[in-house]
Amino acid sequence: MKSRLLLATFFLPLCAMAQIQVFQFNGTTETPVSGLFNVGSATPGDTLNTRFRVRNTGAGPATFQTLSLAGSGFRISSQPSLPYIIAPGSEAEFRVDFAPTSTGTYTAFMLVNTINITLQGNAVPAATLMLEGSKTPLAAGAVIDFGPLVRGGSKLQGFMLLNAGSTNMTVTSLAVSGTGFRGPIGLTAPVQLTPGQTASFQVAFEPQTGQPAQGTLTVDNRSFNLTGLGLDPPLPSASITLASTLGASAQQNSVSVSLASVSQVSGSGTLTLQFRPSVPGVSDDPAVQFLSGPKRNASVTISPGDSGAKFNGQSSIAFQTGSTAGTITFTLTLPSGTQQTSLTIQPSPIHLDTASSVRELGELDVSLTGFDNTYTAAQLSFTFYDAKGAVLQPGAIPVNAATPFQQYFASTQAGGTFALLAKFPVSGDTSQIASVDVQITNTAGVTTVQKIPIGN
Amino acid sequence: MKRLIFALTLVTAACAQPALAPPQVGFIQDSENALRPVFGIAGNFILGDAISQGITSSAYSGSLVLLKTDSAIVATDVQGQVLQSMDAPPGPALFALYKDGSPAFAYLESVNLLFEWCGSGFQMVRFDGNLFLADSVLSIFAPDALHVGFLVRRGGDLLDVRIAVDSGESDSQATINGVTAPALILASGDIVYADADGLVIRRADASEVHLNAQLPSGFSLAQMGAGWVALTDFGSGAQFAVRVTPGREGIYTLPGVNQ
Repeated sequence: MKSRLLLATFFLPLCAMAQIQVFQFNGTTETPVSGLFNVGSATPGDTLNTRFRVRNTGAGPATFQTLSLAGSGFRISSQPSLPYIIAPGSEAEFRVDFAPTSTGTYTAFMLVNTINITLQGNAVPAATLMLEGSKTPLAAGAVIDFGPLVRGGSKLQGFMLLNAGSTNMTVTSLAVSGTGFRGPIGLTAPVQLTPGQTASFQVAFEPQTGQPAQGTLTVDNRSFNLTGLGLDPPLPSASITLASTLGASAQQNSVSVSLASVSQVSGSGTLTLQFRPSVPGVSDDPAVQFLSGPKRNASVTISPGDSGAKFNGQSSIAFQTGSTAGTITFTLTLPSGTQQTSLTIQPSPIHLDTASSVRELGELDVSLTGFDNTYTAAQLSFTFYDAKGAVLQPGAIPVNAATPFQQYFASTQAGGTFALLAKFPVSGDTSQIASVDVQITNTAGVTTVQKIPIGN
Repeated sequence: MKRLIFALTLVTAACAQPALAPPQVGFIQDSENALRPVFGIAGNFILGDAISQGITSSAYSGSLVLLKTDSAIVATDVQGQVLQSMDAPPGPALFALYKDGSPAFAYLESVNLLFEWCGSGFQMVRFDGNLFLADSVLSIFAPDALHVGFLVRRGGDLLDVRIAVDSGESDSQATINGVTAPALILASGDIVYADADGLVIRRADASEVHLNAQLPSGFSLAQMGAGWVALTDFGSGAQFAVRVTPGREGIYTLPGVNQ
């Protein structure tokens, strides 16, 4: 019983080996290989790679046990880790490089499990291709990378063909293919080369898109890979332009973004608005904002052909400067970089937008609207006049309004704007009072409105 | 004179605490048909929160808000508190506000009815219903306490038709030369209209103030406050505040609503 078991163990691999078959695989088709197999021709210095498949043609699992190669010019370039169990109908792949160092015929012996295969390869002379300025031959399949280049540009790469052999040779085919590549420039096949003779030509990389590009340089039967990276041109440098540089409150202004040149590409970014009040204790003024879209953040877009960025299709965006002294800063962020510009809103005397006065029963009402961008309004003064323009006694009536102004500015969301109503109880005949002067003071100066008529 | 001097002496102490509040320009009907207060001053506007929704028309005198919803005409105070509401058929309304807010008028063109706000409620004003049957009423206005004016497009002309409130009879009709729709007549008698270069404010004395502007192809005009008219771009929904106060005229951009 024990000896029978050992026998089974010994014969199992042999049975499994009998199920495998070797194929040459060209990427789409498998061709059975046995006995002698010619891998083809290569030029000394080149490497010709051949793919082989070990297929299990049996009904049970097979073991890929052995792979060996003996002979100059050939080497196994890749293989699975052996032993390798192959399921029925499946395959394992290995590759063999033929890399001759001189012309002639090369032979090697390959063993796949128990299958002997003789490999043969031909080394044929060909013109040596080198990059301009280099003495290193390029192997077939080598990659010549042109690197990145802005689309619309052109980059030339020089090549040199050399007859390194001892007899005359003719390069019958010299071609360049692939979108974005152009050539050969300066040399046309057929090219006759005597021993040691060289011939130069160029290939141009001219990307038309901002995409990677691939091409092929073919010299007779040898191909070389051309690669390059097309780049979109960068956005032109941008600058922020204010329609008015007047640094004052309660202004409606607009901002635009100019480009240093007409843009070749599209792009997008943002223009943000920040406000830093210079008034102590004040953190913001909500009226400082763009007048369309989000209050402090505008999207900008640039299309090919634009000389300026667009804000929702418009060439500028309006903003208002609020009613608080401080600094408005615009920050433009585009893929090409960041720009900033600032508009300083200087502290100013109180601006009165409206001033009116009316007679009410037993009193005079004086109404003012305006803004104090320093938030420091304090002293008021009212001087009443009769119809003849004479000052009514007691003359200027001072009112210290610092506290109510401070309380108001501390609680309002209206920035430095205010509507003031001053009531003056009068027991006499108010019809004799014709007008009033109002003087209002803040830390930046004194504002006077004269002869406000008293209405009914 | 001594009496006056005495009176003004009292003033000194009485005025020690002036009242302060955010200034209000008026109200606008925003692109979502909500009524919003507009705070600030010329060139510095802040939109307040909506005080009423579902508005089809509105006007503000400075003290009174008249608005039309799909089912009612409503009078509110400055804070948006409803003073009176009256059922009304669907559709927009035209409003006329006298300088101090009373009287005020609401005209429903769809049913050719005119109502007067008399401080405590709405009353129908009977008038010759055949007056405007073939016309388009562009706006109404209150030139004085006794009349309501209609700005009417008749053929290619604009007419100022005045109706006496007490009789309902038309007592004057005058062609307004050189004015095309859209146009708005204010209580002051000022006419706001557009020409090729922008807006024109034609004063009651026929003098004109031109405000250069690139106006949208389609827009409406409505009184948004004392001395202010709202211009709304039909296309983009953008809104502008037109200041019509003599000597202070100007066109300003109002902040967008969706901010």
